[in-house]
Amino acid sequence: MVISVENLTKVFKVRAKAPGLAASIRSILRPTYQDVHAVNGISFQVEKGEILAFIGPNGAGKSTTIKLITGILYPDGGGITVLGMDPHKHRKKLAYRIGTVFGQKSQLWYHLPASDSFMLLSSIYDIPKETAVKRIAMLSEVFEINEFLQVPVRKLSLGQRIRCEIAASLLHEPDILFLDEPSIGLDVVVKQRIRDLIRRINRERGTTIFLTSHDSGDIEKICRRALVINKGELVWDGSIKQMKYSLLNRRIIDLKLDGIINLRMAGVQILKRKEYSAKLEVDLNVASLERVIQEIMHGNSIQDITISNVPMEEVISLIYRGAV
Amino acid sequence: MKCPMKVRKYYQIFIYSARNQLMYLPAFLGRNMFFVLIMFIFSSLWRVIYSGKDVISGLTIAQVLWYFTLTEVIELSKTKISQEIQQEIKEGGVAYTLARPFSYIVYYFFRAMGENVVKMVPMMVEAFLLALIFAGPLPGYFVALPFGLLIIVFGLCLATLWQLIIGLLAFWFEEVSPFDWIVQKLVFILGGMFFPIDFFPEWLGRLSKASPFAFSAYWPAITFVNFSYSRFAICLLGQVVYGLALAGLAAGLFTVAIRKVHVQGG
Repeated sequence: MVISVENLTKVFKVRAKAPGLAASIRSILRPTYQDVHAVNGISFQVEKGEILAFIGPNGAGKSTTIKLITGILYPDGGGITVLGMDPHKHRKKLAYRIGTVFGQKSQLWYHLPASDSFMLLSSIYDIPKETAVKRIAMLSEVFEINEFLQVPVRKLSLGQRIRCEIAASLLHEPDILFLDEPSIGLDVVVKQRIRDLIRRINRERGTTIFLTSHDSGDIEKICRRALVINKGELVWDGSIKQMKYSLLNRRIIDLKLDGIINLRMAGVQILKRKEYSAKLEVDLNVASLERVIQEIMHGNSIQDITISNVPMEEVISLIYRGAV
Repeated sequence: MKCPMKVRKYYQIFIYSARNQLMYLPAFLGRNMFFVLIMFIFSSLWRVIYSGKDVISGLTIAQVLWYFTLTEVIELSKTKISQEIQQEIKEGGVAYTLARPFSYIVYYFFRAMGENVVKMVPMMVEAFLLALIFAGPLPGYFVALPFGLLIIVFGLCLATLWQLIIGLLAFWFEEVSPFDWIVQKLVFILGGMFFPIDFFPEWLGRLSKASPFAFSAYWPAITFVNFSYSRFAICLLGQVVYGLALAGLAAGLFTVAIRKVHVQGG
């Protein structure tokens, strides 16, 4: 086990202020604070080599949890063990064994080429120069960043920069890589490339990946397990497949018949209908697939049929809205 | 000789910070052209004050003008690292810095010094040229130069430590510029930024000379323009003592601050 979190709690004191000038003046003279439970008693474990999706709506407590696990924030309650260490007590020691990428913030020096930032980070992680040169060459090849390694970071595209950011976080060969929204703002092609790279790092080095993302593609295509957090509480810990089955026990049926579909059945919703084609959503808690298909076949002949799960995007959206 | 890894990382931070700062050098030089105007105004003022007198409080007009340029070198070379720390805390970039295997305080100190050096070298050249033009050569200049440069760099170190302490206050306060303003004005007044403390009334002069602010302005500049080995020793000793005290204060503040971190954007 590489990460163990037990009953973790983090409370922020946030200054409360009513709207208006009078309230602003009052809040200067007599400030009032309210407690925000960013993380509220969550527990989970992560095994070595796992690729884990850590998802939740904005303000759910994802980044706060990552910052608690990496030792940046001090917990108000509960316990964390990362690679056998207390992250806050051994922040610097732990830093040698973990890597972080915060998609919206850069760790590269703005005016210098990425290669310079790599050399500086190598010094910061006490990597001897010869080893650093070899690792930079290897990562440049894997991440295909060779051609712009000498270009100042300010001149790189977002996709190029993110590839450099991830490569930079791997220079010291961390055991765990924390990726906080690494694909934010990237186009489809670059996203796919980043996903391939993440999978490759995990496969070839056995690096544990702790991924935070709002992108359903990232979650579905990279991760096998998901932790879902909402309002500071863990609402799901299990496999992605299981999450779809358990949290959203529905199926989508795409049909092509030889006649017009005319189906009225509890638990079945017709999402789209066009001539002899239809798209249905079946709530398996109310109606079984067998019964629905029997009902469709009653008086119609099926030309084509596809049964699929509800798209991941919708699962996530429903979780975020608190509907499941 | 290979330097130990722990020292190497801070040396590299200093070097890369200086290289990064080089990008801003043209803008910095352009901005400091106004120093010519300041020198012109101050030299005109001092000429009026010195009219009919060769020496005031033991200093000639040439010494006072050289003094002024040297204190300005320290002030204008100083990087506002407090603003960078504040920005990092506000925008959440502190998450990267805190997750690195280095001392946050030492990292920022060397990062600031890297920037400071890039500013200080051209500032020194500009200051020396302006002082030569407006005040003429400084007697005893060649003896004072190596010692003077050392204590000017140390003065800049003290100013950087103040900046670090002010920056660390961003863990508690959203805006640290008022603290920066207060310390800057204390350096201006008690530190003898605009004119030597020797011109103060005796009681205030004694108080100011012993204050930490004087060791990042008055003492390095006065030692340079009125050099003696005893004055150099006092200056260096004061800088080391106050430097250690300020570094201790910064380390203490950080120890408390790390428990107060409220990273934004998460």
